[in-house]
Amino acid sequence: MKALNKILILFCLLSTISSCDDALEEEPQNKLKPQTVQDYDELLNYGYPTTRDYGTQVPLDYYVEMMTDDMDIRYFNQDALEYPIHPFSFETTHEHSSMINGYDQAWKNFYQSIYYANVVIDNIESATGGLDLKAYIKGEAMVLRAFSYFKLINLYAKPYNAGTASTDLGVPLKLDPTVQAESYTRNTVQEIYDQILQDLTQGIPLMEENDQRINSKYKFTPSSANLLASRVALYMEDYENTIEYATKVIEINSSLFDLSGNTMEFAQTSWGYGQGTHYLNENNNNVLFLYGSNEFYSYVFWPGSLALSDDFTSIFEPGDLRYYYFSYVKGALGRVPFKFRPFPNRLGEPIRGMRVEEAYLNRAEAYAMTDRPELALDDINYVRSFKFSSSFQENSDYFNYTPEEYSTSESVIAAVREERRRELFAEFHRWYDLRRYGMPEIVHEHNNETFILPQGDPRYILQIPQLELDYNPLMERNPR
Amino acid sequence: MKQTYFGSKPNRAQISTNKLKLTILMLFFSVISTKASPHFQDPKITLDFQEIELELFFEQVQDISGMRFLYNLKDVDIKRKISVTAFEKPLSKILNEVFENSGVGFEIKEKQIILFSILPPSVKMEYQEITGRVVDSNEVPLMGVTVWIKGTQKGVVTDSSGNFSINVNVGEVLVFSYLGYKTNEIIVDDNIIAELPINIIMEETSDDLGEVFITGYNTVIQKRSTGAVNELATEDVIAIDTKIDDMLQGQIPGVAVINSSGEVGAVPIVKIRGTSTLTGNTSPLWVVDGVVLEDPVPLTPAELNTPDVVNRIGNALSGINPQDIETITVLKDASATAIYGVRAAGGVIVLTTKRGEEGEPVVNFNIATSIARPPSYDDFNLMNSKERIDVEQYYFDSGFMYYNSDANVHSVGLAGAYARYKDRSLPTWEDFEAEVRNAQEYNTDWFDILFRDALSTNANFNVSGGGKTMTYYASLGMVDQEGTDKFTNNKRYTGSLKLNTQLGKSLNLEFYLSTYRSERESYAFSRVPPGISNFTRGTPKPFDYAINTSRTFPLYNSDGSYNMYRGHSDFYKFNILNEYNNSNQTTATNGTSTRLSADWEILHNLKAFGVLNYTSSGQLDESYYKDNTNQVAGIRRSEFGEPAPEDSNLPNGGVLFSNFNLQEYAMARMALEYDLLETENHSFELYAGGEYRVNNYRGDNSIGWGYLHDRGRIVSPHENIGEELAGTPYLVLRDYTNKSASYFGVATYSLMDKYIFNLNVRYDGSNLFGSNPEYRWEPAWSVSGRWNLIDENFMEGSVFNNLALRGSYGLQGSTNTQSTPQIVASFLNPTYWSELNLLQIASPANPDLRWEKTYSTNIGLDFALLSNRIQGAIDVYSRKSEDLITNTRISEVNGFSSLPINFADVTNKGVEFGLTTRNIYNSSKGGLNWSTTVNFAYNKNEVTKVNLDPIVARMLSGFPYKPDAALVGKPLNALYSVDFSHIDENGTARFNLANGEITEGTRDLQFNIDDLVYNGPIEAPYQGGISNLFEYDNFKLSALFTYGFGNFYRRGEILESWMYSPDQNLSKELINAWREPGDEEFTNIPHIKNETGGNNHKSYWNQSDIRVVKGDYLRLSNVSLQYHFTDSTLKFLKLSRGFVQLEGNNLLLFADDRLDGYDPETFPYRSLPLPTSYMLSLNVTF
Repeated sequence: MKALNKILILFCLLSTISSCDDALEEEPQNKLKPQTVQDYDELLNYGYPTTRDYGTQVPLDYYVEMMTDDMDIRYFNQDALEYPIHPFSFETTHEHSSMINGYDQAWKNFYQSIYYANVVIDNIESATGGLDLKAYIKGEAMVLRAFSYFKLINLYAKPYNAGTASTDLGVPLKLDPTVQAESYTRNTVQEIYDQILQDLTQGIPLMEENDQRINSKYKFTPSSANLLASRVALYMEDYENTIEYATKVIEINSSLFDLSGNTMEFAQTSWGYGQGTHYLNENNNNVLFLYGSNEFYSYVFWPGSLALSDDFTSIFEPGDLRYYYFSYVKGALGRVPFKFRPFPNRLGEPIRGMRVEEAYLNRAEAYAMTDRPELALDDINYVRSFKFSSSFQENSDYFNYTPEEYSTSESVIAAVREERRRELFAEFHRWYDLRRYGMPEIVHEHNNETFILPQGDPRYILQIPQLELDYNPLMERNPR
Repeated sequence: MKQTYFGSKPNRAQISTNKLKLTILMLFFSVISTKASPHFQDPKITLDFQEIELELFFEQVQDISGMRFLYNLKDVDIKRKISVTAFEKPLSKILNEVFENSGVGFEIKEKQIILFSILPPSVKMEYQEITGRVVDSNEVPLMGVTVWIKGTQKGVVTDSSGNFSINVNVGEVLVFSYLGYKTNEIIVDDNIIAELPINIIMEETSDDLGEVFITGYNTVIQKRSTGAVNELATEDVIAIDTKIDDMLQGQIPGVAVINSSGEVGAVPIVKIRGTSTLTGNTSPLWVVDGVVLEDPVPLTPAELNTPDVVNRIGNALSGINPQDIETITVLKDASATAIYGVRAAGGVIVLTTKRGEEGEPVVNFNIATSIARPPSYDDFNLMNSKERIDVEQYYFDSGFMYYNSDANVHSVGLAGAYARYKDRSLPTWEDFEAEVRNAQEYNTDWFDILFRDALSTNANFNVSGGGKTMTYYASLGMVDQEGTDKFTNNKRYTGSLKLNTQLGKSLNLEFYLSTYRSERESYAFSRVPPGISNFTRGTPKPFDYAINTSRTFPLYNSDGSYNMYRGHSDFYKFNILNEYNNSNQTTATNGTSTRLSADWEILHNLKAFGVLNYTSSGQLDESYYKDNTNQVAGIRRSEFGEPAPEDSNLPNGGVLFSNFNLQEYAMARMALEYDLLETENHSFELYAGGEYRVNNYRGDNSIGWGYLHDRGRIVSPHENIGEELAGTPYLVLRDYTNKSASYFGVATYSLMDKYIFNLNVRYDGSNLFGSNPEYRWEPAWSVSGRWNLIDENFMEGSVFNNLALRGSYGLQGSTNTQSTPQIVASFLNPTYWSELNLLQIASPANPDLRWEKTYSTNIGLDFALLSNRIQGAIDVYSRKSEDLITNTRISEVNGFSSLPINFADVTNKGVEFGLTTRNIYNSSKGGLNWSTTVNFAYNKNEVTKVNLDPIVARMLSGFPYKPDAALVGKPLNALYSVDFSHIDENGTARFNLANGEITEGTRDLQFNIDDLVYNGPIEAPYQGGISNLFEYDNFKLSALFTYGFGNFYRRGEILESWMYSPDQNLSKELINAWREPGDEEFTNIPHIKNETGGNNHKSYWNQSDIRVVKGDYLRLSNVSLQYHFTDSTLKFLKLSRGFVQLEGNNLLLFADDRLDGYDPETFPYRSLPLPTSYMLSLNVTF
């Protein structure tokens, strides 16, 4: 009996060990399983393709700027920086081993945003926290997802064409947060746009109805979401919605970046390094949303590889202060882009964004396309009134376009698009705009060599990044 | 000789009352018996003598039998007349008759018959006559068993009926020894006296290899051991090591100990049976007295393979004093390691600490002093000043010059002088030429400046002893080692105490306490995050600086101040001593372990074991730079003494990096051992239990910007700290808790002790794989068997005295602590630009993630023949590792570029062979003994399945840890090269491509995987050691050779695209570089002209196959000579034992000359070669 007691004691001791399954629950350091609505909000913050440190980059579509007709390469130190010449000369792929990190990362970064958005959309319902906040964050995640797909579809697929969109190859549509070592295939352009529209039409009301009055310009807000919707509609040639969304933006915030108080003399002599305000400074009232990072530093400021093309500088009119604000002459390098003054070398600084100006320009273009020239001219004249020196000529509205000058709808469209080209210079709009303008021929010259991108050339549709093709065998290539 | 075997245990009371104690005693005697194994021949002889003198009898017997009599005249009356008649009678029986009642005893060893006096019964009252009978396990009387009193020369031999009679003091220990049987001991106490005559059962043994193994969980009788196990008694390692892992090198087949650096305190890389994981930890599991050691600081596998990190902060073994270790048991196959479960895929090394023995206190003290020699220019293939200036002259004559003249004014060599001439600080051309002449003659000896003869001291003191119910062992140890570089110093203090108590008849307790402190001081280790300071050269290691720095300029200016210069890539002035003397790195670690173990005999066949362990350690790892260092100048962005720029982040003071880490480790285990069946032919034993472990690491990393070292170590950050440094955390906190629980069971069935079957099972659960219950608990198991061939009838009369076949098959697992199967988010610092709080998904949900698995098969043969003159073991194994976790590239559509998935397979196949021969064996005291041990291991590692797409640049890496460059059909960590073709008429390197073409031009060369040539493994597949031990008179000499071969390295990268910086020293090989057309006939080294960015033919030349050399080496690793004090000296000094030892380490090395003076072991890490060192030590026992 005594021995039996001893054994019983022993088994009791052993059983204390055996009940340790619960003790093996995860407790890693600094880590958690996302549970609260706050957690998901912070996850979504990470999902924005925005630089996180002072000195790091989140490379996005910087290469498209080198393919536009705005840019020129006057001087090229090929030992210092090889990359710009490759997209500038319209090579069959925009990728080159000399680009940042050696490959195109816009694909990865936008899909990473989609992943985070998917995590939030999928799980936020079961998070703990206020219902309105939950709804708002879900709406914001949908807008972020729409934004990311919108960027992807316009980089790697044909521009939206209602007639062919349902057969044009788009990008893979992934709406769940699983991660797997599987192949993905491309959905159609129409499917992607349908998803974008669905996310926007569901997401924007969720944000508006549960507005949290979040001030951060590094997150979508109802106004920037509407501006995105207006841009999407414009790209889809859905002009009524372009107007409607743009108007909503303007109703919320109509402030523009004002240069008009400066004199020409001042602009020509004093705007150098260290001067002025960042055109996309987060303190500017007209700035609604900021993302990305300053990859331009590597390509513009440091080696001075890219300069403004003659074609582009020729469209500035006398008195237009933007000419001096957006560029400066850097010796043999020519007139180099300088929009993100005063310190264009701040590596991480986000230089992509959305501004109220775009709402006017979107709406102007929609008016022009739907044959409402006066409304279109009103919008661009309003924008111009902030950008031209008020003291350049006696006549204080010398820069205004009048219906008399622009009597045909073609001329109004051209004027609106030229204004858009000037105002949104170096903000990664031109390439996408050229695509939807019918992909016109672009001619680049460098070192007595001429590079031509013929009208409608397949290179207007970027090749899927090589890494993706390598690891995703079912991915269809874009034709070349 | 008919062999019968122990089947039952008639005298159970004596054996099982204290099995643990017996186990330890057995272990003890296994050590003794390997040293002096009795071996005797018992020839049958025929003779007939009447009344002859003993002396004549001896001569006659010597003639007939070839045996020799050894005796002391005062013990044996050789004039005594005897009569003896015998016909084909064993000599031992004849001698028994001859010496019966003569007061003379004898012992037959080999070909010697040793006679000794058996003292007549004493008149003292405490003498007790002990009578008894010695039988074997079948109750057959054993004749000729030596019965002697432990610690004396007194003894008797049993007669033909197995009877003996001896007078002893109460409390003394009687030792019974007989060839082929286990030595037996009894303590003469009242119980024994009461039971007279006593019955002693001798248990047969078939070999002397050590009768039990300690697996850390239980002890396994060697005859029933089915696994691949090697045991090393530290006593048999003559060389004195300060680290236990160093001690293993070349000693055990299949255990590769690779020194990654010759720096003091460097942690070697230990691998058992190759590499079986890509991303996991390859190190074996270290176990001390059944408790798994945990590293004091959590390290990733990559860090563990980076010598700079591990050497600085140490590993789990750093606190262990080898002098406290009794045995090292290496468990290699599935059967031996299954009980350790999932963490044992890299093998297990079990350390057993010493314990006290009953008896008077024994005090041991030893002290050793050693000197290690520094490296010198003679060892390396480097240019002298003249040769270096000649290269500069070549550049100068060819019109190449540095364009950055501003930097060159402060530069060195010809370029520096020319810049100063241009700058007018050297007014005339003659001044310039004079300075160049000086530079040609400086020949600054950087090795002499930075290195020294390093002195080290190692002292140990221990005392042990005890009474019947309590024994103790206590030790103190001290190691103080200088590095051969002048800036490194290692100290370690250890203390331990072990108490063993017996409570009542059935409960034994062991209490163990050990503590250590280690301190390492060395040159600073910069942890300035990249991006904060791109303007410094970092702090080179002394060896790297000496190797890489030109000798054309002096350390000091003529006025005695430091010569501060700027190399081509320096932004600020630099002087190596200024840097070292104003910066420092200190690592201090304290650790304490407490353990309580108990074994409790509940029933005669049921025992319980319990272990509780608590370990805590703390480490402070600090590095600082004062404001006058180049490192801080780069952060400040101004030279020391010059005003800092207005926006400088660090206008004042230096910088301090401080890491603190606190570890707590607790472990509890309970187990039961149940002898289900124990009959003559069958034995069935079960062992089962469970354990729980918690290991918690807490710590912080902090950076003190504006550190004022000389002002009381104040940290005074400037207000400017913000913009750039803000991206750098001031403080990072860490808090990790790893928990795991395990159940294990062992079943062993033995049929007649000839056929043994063993089953091991272990279930492990860990919070690292926490969320998916499907994968939380993972079994490790093995089935194994052993066939003791020697016991078969057909083996009768063979030369073998041991022959056993072992086989095992099983599954081992291994965790990868870097990966988890669920979404885990981690907190990040708020972003710099948006100031938003962030949560990052550290790893996406990966529910299919599971343990890595290794299926192992092992077949082994243990053998001993010619009375153990030759003994050894051969093992053949195959380890198939499956489901290895790789960071697989996946479609970026997932939002992630890579995902850890269980995909890759790797096999390790190999042969291991260990052989010990006693070449000359002489049992008499002072006779010559010579034994040789040869260890050989071959491991073939092959990747059989992998989903990585290796990047050419990674494939070309020569670093021995590169799991991301695995290719199917090749070993992990293999060397690949581009295929060099020739040097063309422009001095350009040309390479062969896979398509048969040869590269053209100098720029933008690109190679595909197909273009690369496979050279072979970087890690030596063949490894081992050869040791010889000679004993003669009072001398003992041992020599250990270690070797490795079959691997390949690539020589140093001697070519650069750009012009060499004038402060950079070059390989002498470059003297033969291409200079002008026509040279290509004589050289295969491209030109050394300046080329710009996209030119990469020279960098590929560095990575081409003509740079590949064999890594084969043979090293005379250690020679030790011991001189043991003579008996008279010992008596005079009142010592029981004492010796002095002279030792040389790393004395000779045979390796490819083209390793350029680097050590073949440290070569792939480009680190300091192992120094030659000499040691003198004294060891005394009171």
